[in-house]
Amino acid sequence: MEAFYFSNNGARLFGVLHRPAETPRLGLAFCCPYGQEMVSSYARFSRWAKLLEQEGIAVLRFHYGGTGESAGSSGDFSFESACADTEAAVICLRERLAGTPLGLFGYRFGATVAARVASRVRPDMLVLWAPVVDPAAYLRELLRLRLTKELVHQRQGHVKVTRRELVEQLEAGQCIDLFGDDLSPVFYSQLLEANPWAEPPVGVKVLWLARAQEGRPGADKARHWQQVQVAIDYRAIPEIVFWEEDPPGLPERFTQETAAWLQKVQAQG
Amino acid sequence: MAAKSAGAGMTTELVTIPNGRWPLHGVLHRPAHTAQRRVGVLIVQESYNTKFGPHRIFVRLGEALSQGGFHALRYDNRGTCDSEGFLDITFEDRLADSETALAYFRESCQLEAVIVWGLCMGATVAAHLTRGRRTGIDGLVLCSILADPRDASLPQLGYANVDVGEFLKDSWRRGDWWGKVRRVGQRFSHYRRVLGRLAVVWVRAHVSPKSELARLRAAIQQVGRLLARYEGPCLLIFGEKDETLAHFQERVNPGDRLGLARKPRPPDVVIIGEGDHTFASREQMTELLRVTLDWLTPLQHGRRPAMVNRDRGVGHGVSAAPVAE
Repeated sequence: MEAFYFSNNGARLFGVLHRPAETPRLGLAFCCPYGQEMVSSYARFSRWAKLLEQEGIAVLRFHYGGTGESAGSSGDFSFESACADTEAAVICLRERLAGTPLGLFGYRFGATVAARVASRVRPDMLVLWAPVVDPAAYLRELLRLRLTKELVHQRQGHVKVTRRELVEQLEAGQCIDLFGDDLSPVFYSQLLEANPWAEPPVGVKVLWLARAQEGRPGADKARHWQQVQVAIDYRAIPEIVFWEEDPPGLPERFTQETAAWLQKVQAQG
Repeated sequence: MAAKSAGAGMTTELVTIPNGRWPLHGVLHRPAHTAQRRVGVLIVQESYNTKFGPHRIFVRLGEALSQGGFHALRYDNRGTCDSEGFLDITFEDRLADSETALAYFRESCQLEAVIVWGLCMGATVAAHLTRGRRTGIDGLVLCSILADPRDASLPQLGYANVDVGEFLKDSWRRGDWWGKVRRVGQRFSHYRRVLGRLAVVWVRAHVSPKSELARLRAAIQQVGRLLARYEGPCLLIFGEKDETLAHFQERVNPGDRLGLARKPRPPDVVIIGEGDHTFASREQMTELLRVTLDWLTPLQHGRRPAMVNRDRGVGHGVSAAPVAE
């Protein structure tokens, strides 16, 4: 395992490469989620990366600029910057693992980033866990969380600003404070306008694991990709996951299905 | 690929801290300017998290400290996050890692003084570093300290509050029970789910991992006594709305049971207005960094840290500490 800084157009990004002792059979770049979900999942996914390393899979975990150990402030972070940083991470992984098949893995916001970037960097495979398919609903959820925090953790009788006021601030070009991080108007507008599903990664093998309760929007997107000749395997899994409740560890069925799929795809060549 | 990065006069360096079969991954912030004395701040993260922390609290702290002329070191515990291997760490592991990191920090930066800055469980670990003066630290900054054993939790338990009795008491105190009773019919499925989870938590807490939980509770239980015994400079920081403040006031040190106020040099106490457990807003973070730097700066000149916000601290009576220095 090696921790290092690498660069995206001069901006310092942090990465950790888990490299098996033997020649890896696959390299995966992990695209992490945003905000609190990144923090709450960090230990779990670093542990999974270590387990994958033992199974002969190299993993590059990295932090987008303005998050974690990477340089920049949270106000500089946006959907496009996350995509650009992911491309830089893939280039870094390709340099380090020349000749090894490469994949992108992402969960929640990271899965949406991975889906967008896949059509540009053409990995051999793409694994998505519960991507954000409705950015507007996701943003509403983030803003609602901030209000919930005021009511619960700060034990306020009422919220200081309403969700509508927060949206107005963003639309007026101001950053808002999201649990101590800045959520920028650029991020807000990019996410609302982003359509990562518009450019299907034709020729890339895709595994898409959704939560059972996500329902139609994700399934519709997956069907659309199928229609344009993307080899996609979409599965809805009835499992409680840590970003909704607080079970310890990783979602067992998500990891099992992913490991089995990776093995199967590799065996097929 | 680089393991070092510089900007605005300060350097951030990725380091591997030798620790037997469990080397620790760390980030070292070297100062932007040379202070009169080489003072380092070891940052000990909360619970079972990572060295950048929620809303990058530890990154920002490390950067602010290095801009203020301090060295700062953050690290991941053994077998977690960016450190090698994987392990369900115990409290003793965390303590051993902090000692290792402290020794490494002192030697690699040739420090003349070391302060330990901890958040939540990290503050509990920092308090334990004063046990038997084995590490010779020069001061403590303890934020949202876990000092009440009833607040103990483990990742194996899904971080749930494992003390069901306390959970029920707290729920009772929070009130509106009549309203809740009236709404049972409408919210039956919600209550069924909550009761189911409570049952699972209770069984887990009392059957499988009890030994580690008991050890953790015992370690947290000792914090009050350790604070009472510690003679070095100490700053306690709480968020006004954080439960650890209420628990410290009501359960750990009611009526100054620990005798903190009677010490020759009582701990300094700062309560950050509207503050929560991890100081998760711009204003709280700004205040936290200001308070920390103001308190630590005298150390660079060989002086004892000074209390920075005595009115609020005493007003809330956390330690019932006198204001006079």
